[in-house]
Amino acid sequence: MSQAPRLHSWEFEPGPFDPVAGNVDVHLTLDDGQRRWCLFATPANLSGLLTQPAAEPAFQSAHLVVVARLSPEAVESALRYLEAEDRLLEASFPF
Amino acid sequence: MPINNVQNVRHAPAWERPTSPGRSRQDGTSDTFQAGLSAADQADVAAGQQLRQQALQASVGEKRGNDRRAHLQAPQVPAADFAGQFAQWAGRDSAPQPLRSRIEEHPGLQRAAEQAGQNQAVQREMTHLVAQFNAGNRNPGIGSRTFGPITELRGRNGGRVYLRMGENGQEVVAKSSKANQSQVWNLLQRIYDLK
Repeated sequence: MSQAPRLHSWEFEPGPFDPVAGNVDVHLTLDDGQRRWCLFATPANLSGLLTQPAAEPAFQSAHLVVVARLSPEAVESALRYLEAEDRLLEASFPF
Repeated sequence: MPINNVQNVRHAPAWERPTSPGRSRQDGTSDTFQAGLSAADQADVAAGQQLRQQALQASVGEKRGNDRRAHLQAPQVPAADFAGQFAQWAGRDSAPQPLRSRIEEHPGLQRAAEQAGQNQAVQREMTHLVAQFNAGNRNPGIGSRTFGPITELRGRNGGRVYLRMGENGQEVVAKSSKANQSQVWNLLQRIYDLK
């Protein structure tokens, strides 16, 4: 039986974001009380980051989750998927 | 003149000795001058040239605009000078205004910035974001956001730098880490009446 903590709740970081071509941090609270966060981005956002003027040559992040759209439903679905795979800790970073 | 004085002159590094004005280059060296030196003196000349080059590199920020090649040969320069050199290298007429900090004007935001800076990775990231912005990259890190009068520079380790357009250009008004981002956000909302 898995001992991995489960997702208790989550919220977007404060402030506006573009759901199609943006990225946003998602703050997680796990059922053991841990507060963690991960970065959600769309493919369009990553493409834009890599092709903008003065872009860095690569984008690397251990707590990046890519979704088609930054909607609450898509984020919830992605987090539940990671939870079911016991990868919530792997995909997030402590506060 | 006592012979000791002559010996002192002979032991002085060759690159410190006066050269004939008609033969010297701008950096004080001359092929003719070096041709008559011993191997040890030529080594001194080389060392002197190296020191002189380092001195030139250190002062390159003050000579911004005078010597384009000197900028390209000077990777070790103060961060504050980087923006000007970058702008010149990129062919711009003028450097972007370096960011001024106004964090200290609000004690709550100052405390929050100090707390955020206690995480070294976040501190490095915030410094990098500001340097990138000063160098002309208006969208550093994982991309900036704008809400009301505030622009937020965002790093992928959670570092945040908040800017506002002031009378003399963009100013840093707050910094945060993931640990106090919500607190800083609430303060900014109150101070700048953000919706």
